[in-house]
Amino acid sequence: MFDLEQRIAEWRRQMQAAGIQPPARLDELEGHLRDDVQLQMKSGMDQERALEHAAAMIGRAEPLRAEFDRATHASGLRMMVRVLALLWLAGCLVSFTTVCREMFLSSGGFRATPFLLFNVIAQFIYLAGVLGGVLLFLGARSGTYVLRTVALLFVIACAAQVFDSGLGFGWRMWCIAVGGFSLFTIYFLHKFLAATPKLRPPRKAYV
Amino acid sequence: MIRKELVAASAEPLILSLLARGESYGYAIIQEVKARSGGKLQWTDGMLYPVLHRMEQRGLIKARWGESETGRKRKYYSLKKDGKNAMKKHHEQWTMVHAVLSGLKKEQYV
Repeated sequence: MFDLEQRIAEWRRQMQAAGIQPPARLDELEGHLRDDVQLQMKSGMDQERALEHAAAMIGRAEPLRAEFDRATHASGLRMMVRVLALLWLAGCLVSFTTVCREMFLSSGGFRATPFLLFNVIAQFIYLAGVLGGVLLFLGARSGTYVLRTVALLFVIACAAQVFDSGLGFGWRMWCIAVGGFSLFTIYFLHKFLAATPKLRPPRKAYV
Repeated sequence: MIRKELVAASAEPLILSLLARGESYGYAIIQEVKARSGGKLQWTDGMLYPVLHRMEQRGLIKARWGESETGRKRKYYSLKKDGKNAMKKHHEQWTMVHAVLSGLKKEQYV
């Protein structure tokens, strides 16, 4: 004797065994299955065939789980990108204000020191980092390009300082940490762009 | 039957446009699309849910649990402000593609 409830419970167990989680997601799929069974039965199918039809329409569990995994992975990546954007935003903002304070508010006021050009260039990079952080936090893809460029400049600057024998051990360690974080940012944003492709119109129209 | 690449590409604009008419749930969305396309636009039913999940994560739609007519739990989806903006963009882009195709077809056959 065909027992619809038992077969639906079996179907649900199969979905769960394939890795479809959490229970709320299974509830939603089960609701869909039941809606379809009901509709098929109204159109004259018997319970068994209606359930077979509904289950076939929902599809196999493995590809479905893979698709859910992809969706979850993408949202996890987006969350991480936001955190990364905030870290860059905060770091560059703090660095920008610190250098500004040193340039203008240190004892004796503003002076043209040998480091002035270096400081001005660094300020532009920090500002670009702030801009990139804001853009990325707001979800604009342009933020990834700005931040990757800034991170690359950080890697170069940090590498130069690590090999400068005149600098202390602590400062070198700090440069290694910042350079490593910048390399991670470049790698991670590259992965993020690859995982969330977006069709863009060509920059130039070839007519 | 419509090619699966086109079916996949049209999923988001169709879902957004259907939800713009009011809140709905997965099964009803699929039935509506089937009916409107005369059965030519067919999704693997289960694959709708990862799409809905992704759109929810991106803040285009929101979901709430409610009750069906039979008293069962059912998840209802509705459009958010970002979803409305995304829908407008989709409409512009699809209209543009349609206009280009129509223009080319006219030139070829008139």
